[in-house]
Amino acid sequence: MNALDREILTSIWLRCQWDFLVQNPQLADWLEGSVLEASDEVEDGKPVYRLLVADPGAAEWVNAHGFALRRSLSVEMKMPVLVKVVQADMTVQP
Amino acid sequence: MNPPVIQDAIAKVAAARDKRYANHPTNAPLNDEYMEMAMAGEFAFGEFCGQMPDLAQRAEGDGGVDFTIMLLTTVDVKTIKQGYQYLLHKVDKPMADLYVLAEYERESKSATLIGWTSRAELKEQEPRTFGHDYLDFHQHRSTLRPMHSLRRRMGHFVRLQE
Repeated sequence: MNALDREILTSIWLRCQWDFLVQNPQLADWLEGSVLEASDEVEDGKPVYRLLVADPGAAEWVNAHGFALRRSLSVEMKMPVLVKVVQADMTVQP
Repeated sequence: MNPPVIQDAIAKVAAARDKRYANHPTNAPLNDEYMEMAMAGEFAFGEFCGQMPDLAQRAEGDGGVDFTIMLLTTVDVKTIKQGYQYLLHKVDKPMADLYVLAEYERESKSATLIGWTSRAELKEQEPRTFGHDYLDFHQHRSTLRPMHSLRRRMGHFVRLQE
C-alpha cells in the first residue's frame, strides 16, 4: 500500500468517524485514535479491512457495533467490505 | 469581549431581525435580548470554526441551522443567559446534526462557548416542559462535550486538506 492509498484510506476512515459523531457519539469516542488498514484477505468475496483500536478494552465494544462499522465503511468505499477489529499493539519496539 | 465593530454588527443585525420577525407566527422571543444573545452566540461559534455567521434576513428564519461545517454537518448554536443550565430545543422544530451551547455575558455583550452535543445525544432524555406550553429536548450543560474535543476532530480534516 503506497502513501497515497494510505492517505485516501485515512480520509475515508475520518469521514466514517465524523458520521458516527452525529449518529452514534459513543462509538465515535471509542474509535478515536483508531487506524484502518487494508489487508490482503478476502472473505465471501469482500475485501477485509483491519481496524486497529487504540483504546485498551475497546475492541470488544467496537466489535459489538460491527454492523454499523461495516455499513458506514461500505458506503464510503462504494462496495461491500468486511471489517475486523483488533486491539492495536501499543508496545514500543526498541 | 468582542471588538466594537463586532458588537456593532451584532446590535444592528439583532435589531433588524427583531423588527422583521416581530409579527412572524413562529417568533417567540424568550426575552427582550433574545436576538442579540443569539447573534453573540453565533459570532462566538463563527470565531471557533472560522466562518462568518449568516447575517441574511430570511423570511422563514434559519430552519434550525446556523452553520454548515465539514461534510455538510449542520450546527445550531443555542445561547443562554448566565447561570442557565440547559441546552433546549423545541421538540417539533427541525433538528441540526450538532448543537453548541453558548453563554451570554450581558456586560460585555459577548458569548462564551460552553460545550457541544449531537442530535442523538440531545434526544436521549425524555422531552419535558421548561415553563412553556411546549416540550423541549434538553441536556444539562455539565453533560455537554468540551469544545476542544470538537476542535480536535475538525482539525483532522483541516490537516488532510493541507
